[in-house]
Amino acid sequence: MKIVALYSIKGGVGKTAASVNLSYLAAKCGFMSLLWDLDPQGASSYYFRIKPKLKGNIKKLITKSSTIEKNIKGTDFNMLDLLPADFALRKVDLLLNEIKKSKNVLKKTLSNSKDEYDFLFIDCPPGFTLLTENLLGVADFVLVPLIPTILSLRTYEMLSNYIRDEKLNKLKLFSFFSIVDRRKKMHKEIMADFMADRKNILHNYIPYSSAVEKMGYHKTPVELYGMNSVAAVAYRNLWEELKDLLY
Amino acid sequence: MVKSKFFVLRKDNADDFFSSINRKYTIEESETDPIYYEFYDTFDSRFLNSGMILVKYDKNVIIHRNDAERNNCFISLDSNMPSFCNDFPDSDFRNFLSGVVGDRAISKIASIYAERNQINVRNKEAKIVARIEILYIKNMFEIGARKEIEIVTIKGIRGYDKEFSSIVKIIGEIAEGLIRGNYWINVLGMLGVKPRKYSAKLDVKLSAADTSYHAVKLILLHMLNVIMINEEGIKKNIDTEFLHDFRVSVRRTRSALTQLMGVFNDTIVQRFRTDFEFLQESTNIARDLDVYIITVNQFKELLPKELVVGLSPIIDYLICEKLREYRELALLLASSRYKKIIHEWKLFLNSDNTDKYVGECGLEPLNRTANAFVFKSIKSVNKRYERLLERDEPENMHRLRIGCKKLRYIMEFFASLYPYSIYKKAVKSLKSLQDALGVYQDIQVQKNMLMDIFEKLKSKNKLNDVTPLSVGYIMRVLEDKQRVTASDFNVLYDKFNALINKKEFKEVIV
Repeated sequence: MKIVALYSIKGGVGKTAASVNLSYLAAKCGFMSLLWDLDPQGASSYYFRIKPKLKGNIKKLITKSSTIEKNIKGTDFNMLDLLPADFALRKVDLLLNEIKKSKNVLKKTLSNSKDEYDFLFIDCPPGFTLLTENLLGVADFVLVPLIPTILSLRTYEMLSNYIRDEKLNKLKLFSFFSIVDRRKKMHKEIMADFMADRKNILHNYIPYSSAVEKMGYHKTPVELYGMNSVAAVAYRNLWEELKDLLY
Repeated sequence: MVKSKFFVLRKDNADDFFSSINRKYTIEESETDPIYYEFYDTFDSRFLNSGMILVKYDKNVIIHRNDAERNNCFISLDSNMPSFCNDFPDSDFRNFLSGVVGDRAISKIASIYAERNQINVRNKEAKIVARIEILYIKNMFEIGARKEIEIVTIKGIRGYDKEFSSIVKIIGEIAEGLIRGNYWINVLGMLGVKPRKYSAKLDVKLSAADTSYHAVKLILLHMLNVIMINEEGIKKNIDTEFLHDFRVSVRRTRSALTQLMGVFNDTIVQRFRTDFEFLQESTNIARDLDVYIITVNQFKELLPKELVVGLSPIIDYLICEKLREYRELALLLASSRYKKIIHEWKLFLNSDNTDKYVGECGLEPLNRTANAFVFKSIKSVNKRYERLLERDEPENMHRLRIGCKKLRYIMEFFASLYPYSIYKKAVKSLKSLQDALGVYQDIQVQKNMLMDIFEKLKSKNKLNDVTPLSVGYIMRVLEDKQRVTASDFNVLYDKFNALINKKEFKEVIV
């Protein structure tokens, strides 16, 4: 199972939309996929019409693979399951604080779970907490959506420095531009500069699109209601590029 | 694990079905799509008899092992459905198929035209909590059934067990019945397709108190049935197992006539011995060719890749000869001579005129004569073994092997008279001994066959450049094998001897 964490220190950058659409495309491609909605806001769960409610307490969820398995729900799509969010997930950091060797809790729990899925996509909450450290320790691949703004790039630098300092050498950190407005000169310039400097940036980006905003209305991945929309095409291209990197 | 339940729907209740579910959930129906299923099995129903189904629709070929979809075996085919396992693409599917069918051909046993309606059941949040598939079976070909059946499948969604149970309950109340076990086996059963109960193995329940005459007739009747069942498959040259089973029954019949002396009178024995000898001899070449083709294909495994092509002229020659020989066989089976033999044999076996045909020990109770026959045959095996010890020659080894085979046949005839564990041990021991004795001879036959064909094709200039190298390579491998064939039959014989001298064996058999 390959673990792909969709993560950003900053909120509102398109993590959830990317998690939902990429996990859907992976399943459509024939990969048995699981999306874990770790964000207490529960937006991914909402997009799949699944109640953001978990059975059992949160401590068990992060320490016992059997609790994870019990809470998995089938989505409306073949090969795609979801581990829903719960508002109580906001307390995860407090719980992790109480556990010894807390940086490796998730790694241990997930290594014990059954090898049922080809991919685990994690929709991570924003911020930088103990949970983030756990996620960086367990993920094979961290995918960071970046809005082409100075603040967004600054938070990305913070993450890169942390990974370098902590010597998380095995971790593959990649980013892609999200909510790109091609009409804005600044967006174009920032993207061009960043892409010229960096190797670990995906070439495909997600443009600003009303089709993505409509996900909340349709409660499905973009592909289902706007297959030919710019956003749907962009997610498909992003998935193809990501798939090549993963294999 | 995703749960599934299957129901047969009562036709007049289709409206109730939708309205009952609609009370609690929202139903979303898809367009009805036509679907054509083809079902395949071997002649002896190896799939159906093992609770499995081999089904093809569109390009998909699926082996339904049970109701859990993840345990199914699947392949996508662009070509027509092959008849033999080896003609499928190399895959896990082929490996599994091979374990079930072996060398048997697979053929269509039924095809169904149906219309399929898929329904999503949504909860208040508009989330799909279960899927329902209704299959309206409209027409059944091959067996001419016209019965229309509606099958409802409820497929659960992970994490929505309560909803699944509630829908199962709703449908359970209005459906005609719940289908348990393999879905397709049940559906085919409802449409009248049942597995064929065929086995070439002797499975005749005998009574110890019965007369030997009556009991032996029952055994011979079973073998006659096997002979007749396999005629059509031989005529159509469907697969090699038809002729194999046919010949085993002919050989057993001959063995019964020669070994069970005194059960029938001499006139009958002499008459039919000649007939069955004729049938055995008439089928020898065809069976040899079947075995040669299997053997030469196995030789491919022994060869380096670049030498495999050298076997092509030999395989082509064998296939051509086989086709010719099977045409001859079809003529034989349609001939008046063959029909007369079978007809008269059948008349005799079904005849009530005991006085006319019974031999001197025919009216004795079966257990007494059966034990005497087994005892006599064991003595014959012992004698042959002693002769082999005196002169260790292939000929004596072959005689001992034949003696073992005869004893095994007799024990198989009367198997139902003996405790199963004792019978099983004895037959297993005999089989191992027989196999060990046959290794040397079998390799010799393979060498002779290969050289004969090689010389024949060489004289006709029909070999390719690689054939001499391929044949030379195989001959060396076979000679090496023959050299290392350990004479471990002594150990196996001792084991067998120890077994038949055990008290438990002597008490029931000798």
